[in-house]
Amino acid sequence: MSGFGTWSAEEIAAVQRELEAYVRRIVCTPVLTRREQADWTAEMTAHLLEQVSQFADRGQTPDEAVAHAIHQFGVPRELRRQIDREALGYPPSVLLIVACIGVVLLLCSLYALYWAVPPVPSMEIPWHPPRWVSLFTQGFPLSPSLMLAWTLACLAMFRCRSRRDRGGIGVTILLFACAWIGQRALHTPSLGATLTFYGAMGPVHLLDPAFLAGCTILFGLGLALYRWTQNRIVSLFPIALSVAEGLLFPVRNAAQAALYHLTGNPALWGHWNPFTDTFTVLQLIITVAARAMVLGLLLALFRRFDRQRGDRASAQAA
Amino acid sequence: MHRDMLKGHVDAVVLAILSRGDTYGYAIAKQVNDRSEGVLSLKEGTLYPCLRRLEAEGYVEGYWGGDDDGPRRRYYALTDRGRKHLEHLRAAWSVQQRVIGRLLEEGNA
Repeated sequence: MSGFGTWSAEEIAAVQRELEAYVRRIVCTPVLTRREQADWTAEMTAHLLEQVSQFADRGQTPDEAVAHAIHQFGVPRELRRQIDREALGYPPSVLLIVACIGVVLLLCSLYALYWAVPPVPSMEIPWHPPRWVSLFTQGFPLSPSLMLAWTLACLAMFRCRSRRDRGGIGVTILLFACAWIGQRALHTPSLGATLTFYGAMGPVHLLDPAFLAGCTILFGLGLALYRWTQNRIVSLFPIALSVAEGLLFPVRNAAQAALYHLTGNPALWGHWNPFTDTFTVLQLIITVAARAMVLGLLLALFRRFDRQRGDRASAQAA
Repeated sequence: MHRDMLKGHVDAVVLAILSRGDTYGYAIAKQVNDRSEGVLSLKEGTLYPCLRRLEAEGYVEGYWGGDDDGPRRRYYALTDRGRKHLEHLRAAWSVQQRVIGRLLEEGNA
């Protein structure tokens, strides 16, 4: 890079600050992580400084050079929109709408499950669930677990940067869906107790071989996804999904039981609050903590792999 | 027209420049603007989302260079996957060029 003509050190520092502020306006999008934003800022600022120094050599004043460089670089709003589109593969608004549909369907499916359980039998309250409820309680694709998986997958997609990343999320959802269909079809909780989460199958115990098998499969899947995508969020998605799914039914049951006790409405009867039993709470905490440990172990490994890859790239560049 | 001309071919142009050796964003933008003799006007900022996407897809590999002269530059190198993709884009461009050329000739006839 050439110098900055006859500019003083103060002028150069002021130009650098102005360019950084301009670049920050470009990269301040929730689609990029903080680390990505820092990377982009450093790279784009270096570009603009190089451009400004060229204009300085041609005799332009700091103000002229900065205005010229910024004009050539582009309008922040348009660049931000392009970053969002290119980083995600499609406009973020589309992803947000799909995620919102997932949340609405999740709430509908939870509401439908509440309708599916008749109120206190002794009170003989007439109970006629609306017809749409059967879509959620009998139809396969609209179960709360799958709707939760849909919503979380949409959120994870915000950190996907390539088709491979999106494929990784797709593979995870497919595996969970196959396990879920399998256990529904065969009436046997297999494949690591359906990857260790279904509350409907009863609480999962730490020393249950199925739970250990499920954790091992999720650990292996995380490593395989990292090898394929080198994206930490995508690789941690299976274990995070397992934890979220495991908490869905206990939390739903606790909320409904609390509402029943609060309002006394017999229609809300039918679910036991799992958090009132110390043993169950302990099991829940321990199994979540065990998966959090697997998640932590994977994260530590990914950080190490990333560091090794960075070192290799630097060595090659040198 | 000028920006539209480049649209859809930015990937091919960037990969072709990288096939000549590792380089960084500013140099790529300069090459595009200089070698096209001002016919293609590339808004320089649009280059970076494209480079990062190509990196995420595994077509190029980015690394930070030394900072012995001014701010640190992020260099990009073409990968084997990127080389194959470039060949594919070049073949597609040849077909496009042939077809459009033929249509324009027929229009003149």
